[in-house]
Amino acid sequence: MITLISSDKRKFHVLEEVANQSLTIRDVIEDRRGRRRADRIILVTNINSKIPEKVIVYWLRHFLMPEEIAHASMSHKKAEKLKKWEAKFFDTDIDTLNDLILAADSLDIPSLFDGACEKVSDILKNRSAEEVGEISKIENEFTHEEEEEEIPSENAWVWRNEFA
Amino acid sequence: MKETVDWISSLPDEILTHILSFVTTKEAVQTSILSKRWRNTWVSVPVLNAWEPSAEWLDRVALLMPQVISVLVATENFECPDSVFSCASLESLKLFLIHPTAFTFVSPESIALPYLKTLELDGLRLGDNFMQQLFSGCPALQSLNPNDLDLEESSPSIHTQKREVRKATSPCIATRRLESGDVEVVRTTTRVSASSPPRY
Repeated sequence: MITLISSDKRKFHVLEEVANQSLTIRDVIEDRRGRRRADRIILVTNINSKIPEKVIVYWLRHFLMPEEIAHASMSHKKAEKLKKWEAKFFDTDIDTLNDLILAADSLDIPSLFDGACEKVSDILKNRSAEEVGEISKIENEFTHEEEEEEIPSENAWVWRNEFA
Repeated sequence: MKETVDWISSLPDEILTHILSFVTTKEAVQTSILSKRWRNTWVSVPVLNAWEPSAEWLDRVALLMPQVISVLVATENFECPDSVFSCASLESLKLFLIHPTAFTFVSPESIALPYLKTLELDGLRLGDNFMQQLFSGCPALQSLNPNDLDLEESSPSIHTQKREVRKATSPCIATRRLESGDVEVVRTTTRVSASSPPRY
């Protein structure tokens, strides 16, 4: 069992086999193998407690269904179920997605990282710049001229509506 | 009250690029209007997947060192820029230039794609020594998938190439390895459209 401590000092106890899904944690554990018990405590100071909770939920779901097995021999029904579960898991507010991406990046959890990035790309997809700006709070600091002429002319074909 | 911060600005560039790799190139480029930070973010996405881009644009982006270019164009007289065939970073190239009534003529001055592993071509009429250029300019080529091509009838190069392409699959052109090591391309194209006149 290892212990993760979040930035707001909450402790999370996780089975080593489960936490191994983070390549960063796996390496840390490997480095400290054979040492004192206290070394099985890992500080994850860059993330607040809400995120480890979610990450551990994700780990547990995937631990029960390791990906190699999932791809090779998972039944269609089970695959659908996992897909549904993931869709629900990532269906969260944009701040949480942002934190999940950063956590997955620093803890090196490739599938979580990809999943969260893909969800963000889904949010960006098929929306106007104004809509995206509103959702993501991106501040548009372009001048009218840049916005109306300069940028669209750089890559003209992407602004054409070919079906119009 | 929730603080209003541009959450996306807290993400490093590599992550923004990764996010954009999940959308089409068209959608990725459209993010350039979002903010100064996003203006050139799409440029670092190594995969270009474009429907109906302009030739001039394609010519420019081939210089961005992409690893994958996948282009689908169905307009007549599309002039595929030569820069696509000399893109040193390219690992996979798909050119689907499928105008319904005419082949798109492609005859680059030279071909130099040192890292190209997979090549898919569709709807092209290839220049005289295209195949010869291809085999000498793509030393890493593993998979060639030509589909519905019009090869110059007189082109002798196809039969004289001494190079083994490990995998070649196509419903229209079968490439098989002969005992001598020659690659022979057999034309069996049968794409016929009832309303259009024969093209060759």
